[in-house]
This record gives sequence, C-alpha cells and structure tokens, in this order.
Amino acid sequence: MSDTHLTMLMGNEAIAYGALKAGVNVVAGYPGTPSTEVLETVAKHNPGPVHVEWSTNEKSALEVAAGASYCGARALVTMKQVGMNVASDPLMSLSYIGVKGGMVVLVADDPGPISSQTEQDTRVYGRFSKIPVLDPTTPEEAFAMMPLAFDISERYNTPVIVRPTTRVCHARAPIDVDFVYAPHPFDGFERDVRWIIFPPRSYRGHLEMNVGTVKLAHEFSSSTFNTIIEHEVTDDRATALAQLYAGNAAAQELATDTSSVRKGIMTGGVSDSYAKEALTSPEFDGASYRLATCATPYPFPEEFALTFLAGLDEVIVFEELDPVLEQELTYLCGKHRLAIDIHGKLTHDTFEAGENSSAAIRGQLDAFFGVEPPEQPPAVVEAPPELPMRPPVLCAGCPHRGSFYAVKKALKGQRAYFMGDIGCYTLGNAAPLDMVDTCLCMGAGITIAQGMQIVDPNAKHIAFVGDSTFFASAITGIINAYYNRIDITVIVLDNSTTAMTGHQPHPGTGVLMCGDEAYTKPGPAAEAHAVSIANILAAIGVDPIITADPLDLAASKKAVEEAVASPQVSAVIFKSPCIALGKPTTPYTVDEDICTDCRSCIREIGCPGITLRTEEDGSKQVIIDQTLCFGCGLCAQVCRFDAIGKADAR
Amino acid sequence: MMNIVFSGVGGQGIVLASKLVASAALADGRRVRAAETIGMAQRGGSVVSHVRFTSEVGETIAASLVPAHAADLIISFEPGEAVRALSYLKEGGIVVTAADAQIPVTAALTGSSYDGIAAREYLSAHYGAFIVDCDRICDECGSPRVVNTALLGAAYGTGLLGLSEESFDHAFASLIKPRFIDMNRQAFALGMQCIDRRW
Repeated sequence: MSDTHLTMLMGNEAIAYGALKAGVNVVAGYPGTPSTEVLETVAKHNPGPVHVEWSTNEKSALEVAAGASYCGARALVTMKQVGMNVASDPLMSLSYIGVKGGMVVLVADDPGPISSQTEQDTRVYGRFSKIPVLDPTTPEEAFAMMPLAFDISERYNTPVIVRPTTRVCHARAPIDVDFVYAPHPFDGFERDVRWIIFPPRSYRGHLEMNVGTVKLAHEFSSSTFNTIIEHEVTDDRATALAQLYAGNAAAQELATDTSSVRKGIMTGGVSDSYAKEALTSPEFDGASYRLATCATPYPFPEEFALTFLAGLDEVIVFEELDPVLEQELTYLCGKHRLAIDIHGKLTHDTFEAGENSSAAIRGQLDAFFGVEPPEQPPAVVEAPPELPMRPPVLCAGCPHRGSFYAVKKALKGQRAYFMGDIGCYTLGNAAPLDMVDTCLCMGAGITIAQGMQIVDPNAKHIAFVGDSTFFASAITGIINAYYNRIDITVIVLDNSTTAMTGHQPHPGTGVLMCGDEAYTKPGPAAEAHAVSIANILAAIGVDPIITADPLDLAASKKAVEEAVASPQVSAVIFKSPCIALGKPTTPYTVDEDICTDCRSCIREIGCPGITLRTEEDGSKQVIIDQTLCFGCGLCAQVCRFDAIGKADAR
Repeated sequence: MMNIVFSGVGGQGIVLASKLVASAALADGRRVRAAETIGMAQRGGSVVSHVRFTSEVGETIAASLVPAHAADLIISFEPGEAVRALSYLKEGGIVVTAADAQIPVTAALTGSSYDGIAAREYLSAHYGAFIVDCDRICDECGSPRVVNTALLGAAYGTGLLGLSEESFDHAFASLIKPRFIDMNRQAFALGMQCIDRRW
C-alpha cells in the first residue's frame, strides 16, 4: 500500500490547502466555474480562525481582502475570469497602493470556453495592472505555488494573481497535505498616507511598481517553477567531443554548452503537460529540442528566456487563450536582435482559440519537426449510428421552467423581448421555452432591457435575473430604471441558492460560510438574517412587486400580466427552491387511457422527465420517468385533457 | 499505463465512479492523474471523466486528460455516450457500458428515434463491448443509485485494471457513506459476475 499522506486532490482543493499552509486569515470570493471549489474547500477544512465568505460579488470580495491585507492579515480572493472584470476597479488602484499582509487573487481561466462567456486571459490583466502572475501547470504545482504567492506579495508590496485554468482546477492528483495550519500573525492597521490614493501618490506608486517589476522578473528567472529540459540526440560531432573530453568534467560541460539543439519549445499552464505527453510519441525519439516551461508569465523572466533561446533557430510556443509567452519571446528577439523564428498563435501554427490537447500539440510538433507519426489512428470500421444531441437543460422539476412558461403565456400575442442573464436560467433559451433573447454578463439583462425600451417604447421588455445575480449586480440597474422612469418588468427567479455553480448560499439565504452553526446551516437564525429582495425592490420604488409560486401556473400568469400592465418599473418574484435543496414528492404519471397523444406536455415545457415509450406495434406513448419526476406538477397544469396526475392518486 | 475514460450523462454518478478508481489505484501504490467535467454540462449534457494510472514502476504521467486513441478502457453509463467516446479508445481497447439508453428531452421534441439499440449493436459488432444490464443489478440491490459501482465491478471483471480487490475496499471505505457500502459491494460483485457470464 502507498504513502498514507497522499490524497487525491482536485486542483482547486490543492490551491485551498496551499493557502491554508500559508496561514491565510481571510478568504472572500464569488462563485464561478471553474474557481468555486477553492473557497468551499477552505470553508470545509477551516481549522477555525479563518474568515471565509461568499461576498456579494467579486469587487466586494477583493475590497474585503484588501482591507484585511491593510491590517497585515494574509488574504485570498477567489473568482472566475469574468469575475476579474467586476473586481478590476479596486484591483487596478490596489496595484498602486500595495498591500501589507500577503494578498493573493485566485482567478481561474476557462479555455474553450467550457462554462463561461469569454476566453479572456488573466495573464493580460497581470500586465495591464502590473501585478505578478503565477500560472500553475498541475494541481501539485498549484499547491506549492500558494505559499510562494503570499511571500512574493509581502516582499514586493503587491497583490499576486494565481491563474490556473479549468484543466488544472478540475484535474486530480495525489498531494501530501500533512501540515499543521498556523495562522499568519498580523498587527493591525497603521494610519499612513500610503493608504490614500491621490494623483501624486499614484505617480510615485507607478515608479515603485516599475522598479519592483524588473526586480521580480530577475527573481523569477531563477525560480524553480521555470524549468528547461534539454533533449539532445547526440550527433557524430557531439559524440566525438564527448569521447575527446572523457574524464574531464569541466571540458565536457563546455562541450555541452556548444549544444547542437536548434529547436525550442516553450509552454505555459496545462499545455506543458500536453506537450510533454506528445513528446513521448515515438516520432520524436530522434528529435533534438529544448523545452522551457514558464510558470511566471508576468513579469516575464527575460534572463530565463534568454538562456532558453541561446543557440536556437526556431521556437514553438504552446499556451491557451492569448499569445502572451509568444509575444514576450518575439519582443525579446527584437530587443536582443536574435534571428529566431517564434511560432505560435500569431503565426497560425497553434490553435488561436479554444483548448489545446496532447493530440493537437502532437500534430503541431510533427509539423514543427517535419516528422510523420509512425502509426495512424484506428480505422473506423463503419460509420457509427446517429447519436442524440444532449444540450444542457433545466432539470425535471426546476421552478424556472414554470416561471419562463408563465411569462411566455402572459405575453402571448404581444410584442415582447426577453433578457436573460447568467445562471442556470440561461438555459431558458432552449426549445421549447425559447425565452432568452439576450444574455451578456451578470446583471446586464436589466439594463439592456432599458436601452431597448428607450428606443422601442411600444414593445414590452422583460428582464430575468436570478437571486444570487440580483445581489451581485442587478440592484444598481433597477435603481437606474426607476430613476430614469423606464418601464421594464423585472422577473426575479428566486430559487434560494446559487444553483449553477453548485448551490452556494447568498445574502437572500442568510447562510454564512463560517462561524456559529446556527448561521452556517439553513434554519431560523439564518432566515432571520436573510436580505429580502422584495424589501429592496420596495425601497427603490418598484411597483407592483408581486411574489408568486412559479409552480402555480394560473397565479403566475396573472402576476406577470399585472406587473407588465404597470406603466413603470415593476417586478415579479418567482419564489420556489431549487430541486437540489429538497426531496422529490410523489411523481406524476400519465393516464394512458385519457392521453390523446397530443404531446402538448412535451412541446410546451420540455421537461426531461417526460419522454416517449415505443410500444410493440411501433406507436409511441407519452410517459413520465418516475425516477426523474420531482412532482412539481407543471405538466399536469399544461395538459388540457387532465390526463396527468399524481401517481398515487390513480 | 492504464488510461480510462468514463462517459455518460450529467447527474449519473460518473464523478464518484472515477474517484473510486483513482482512489483504488492510489491505494495500490500507483501514480494517478484524473480530471472531470464540472459546470454547465452537468445539466443533462454529455460528460466525460478521465483516470490515468501507472502499471509499471518508474512510469510517469504527464497530462491529466487521456489523449485521443489512447484509452485502454471506456466505462460508459449510457450506450450512445459510449459510442460518442470511441475517439478516445485505442486499437484493441475495451468498452464496458450500461445497456440502458438515457433519452434526452430534445429527442422527444425533435422526433429523434434514439433508443440506444443501434448504439449497443454497433458496440457489440465492432468493439466486443461488455453490455451490462445495470437496471437488473439496481433492482437486485434495491437502489437505482448503484449503476456506478455495478459498472466498476464489470470493468474489474474484465481483469484489465490490474488492481487488487483490497484497493477497492479501501476506496469504498473512503468515498462511500458507511450505510451504503454493503449495497455498493453487492452491485460491484454483480457487475463482476455479469462479465463472467457475459450477460
């Protein structure tokens, strides 16, 4: 049996343990795939004194962390890449102000993208804000980098960005987490003009950052996270040299310095492991190359890169998202007048968007080295049968289905446009609901609806927003509508959780991520502390504000009709918990004697629990999957023939 | 090196299955890397998980994802998803799949006739796939939630994994709630038997 200290950890868990190992005192974040599990893991393994919170949004989280850092505490902020856009306002200024306790901004990028709006590259934020960026290649490296990130933050008086990507965040690897948490000691806030941002302060800050950047680039050049591997296939000349200097170590080293290697590969992030995997393919056995892994993309370690470039003719760069390393190398070659061809995204030799893979990099390396793969992929014997599409859908029993359907019914026949937003309810775009006309970013539906209403006042503009998104970034937009007298209707889809990212609590639930159990579990104490969406809307002046149960179709439709009829900003709060928070009730079933096979239930609401059974004679019968049905009853309200009822009532 | 791809539909318990294998391999002293799909695809979409572990001392694993045409084994929770994952399978690789089709809601909407039968026939004809009657095993165990351990038992029954039975005991103990362990052991054993009998 193996080393008992080793645990299979997801990259995000490894990052969390790395932060605990560094004695982190305060952790704040906003959920977002692929970053969410970092904060959750700290909360789960909280040794006690760590303050862990889901903040209302990334800007709040970053500012909370900054305040803790001003007092000398070590603080971690977590978010996905688009969260960085929300947090960028304080981040840009904080870069000038600096920190006291170590502050790490964990931003998970999502090449693909797999679960995101953009393929933005947070390494570019590093350059933009002059904040150092560490880019782990594996979960193990991410774990090891966290204490270094806090250390650099304190020594260089700057926040530090750690930027994993999805395939590092959600990869698993064995990691030794046998350490004892020791809280980082801090001595509190000291009044000083350095904490107040003013133009002269920013000018001085700018100069200080520039000095620090050069110094840190030098330090990064000897970082153990940046590595160079030389794979030299000894040619006749080198063999002769080696024989000539046999027994003379110093002379041999000199001989090695006259490397015959002319081709180089530079990698960053998860592409490093893909390239290493690809290079084990047999066609590269005879290839000589130098492989550099750059885990510190900003500030770029120029001396490290120059060592790598020495003697090379050609380099290919493997990285995802933007050509950050590629541009640095191209710049460096110009600066030092090196006649080296740099290949990558800009030269169309590697993927310009989306994810890399071992197979793709292997093909790109075949072209780079001018070799042929010895074996061909297995031949496809016969074309496979047609497979069904599986787009993600709202779950069976999801209350959003009822909300979308009620709005659709209420506005039938009217010219109306529907603004979606970010969350599970983006899936309201799918057929047959087809209720999302726009989706841009968190909270944008509410304000986009206003812009459309201004130029098209005769149409109805409806904005859907989830409960967590409401708190994160919808409130200012609703105030904007009221203040500017713009008639839109806001539909709040309140399912009492942040569902899409895995059911995190939010201000509307009152549930916290650390502290007394009464506040960290749903219950009366948490409920008493919950922020009321209805009260916020009322305080703004929204009228009417109707709360409805989206699983009651008639009442929901009436609520929407009443709200839409209002000549000013109005709202319906559809309140019904996410199915993941409860247990299913008795499932519904189709009375096959009554069912006319009109299939309205399938065509109208698209519940994954309703499906067709093929009979022996080849005909089809609508049935309800008894293991999927949650018992919400929406289909029974849609059926005109009363053919659907509770399974136990029939 | 053992490369395994798990495929299926979001919500079927694929992540736990891949964690069990990874944990068993680690308990047997192998080097292990794994990766999973999390996020939007979980809502009824096609999902895959990857588990890679070393078979020989001194081997290393670079990437967490199984490259194309490199999987020794596909363990699929759904026959159509097994077919979808075939681009991962290496020449001579093995497919173990649940027999039962998961029919997506979009199939009912678009009038697609997908029922999994053509997928099963294709797998049997060209890949010598092991088709596991998971519904029957679930019935015997009294829970619809043991598909993952039934499939793992079947995969183990092929003899391909090369891991000890004790390593799975260890994995079960560390990842499954105590009150569900016996039920999952039973599903694992029934899965193994179904390979012996080639149900």
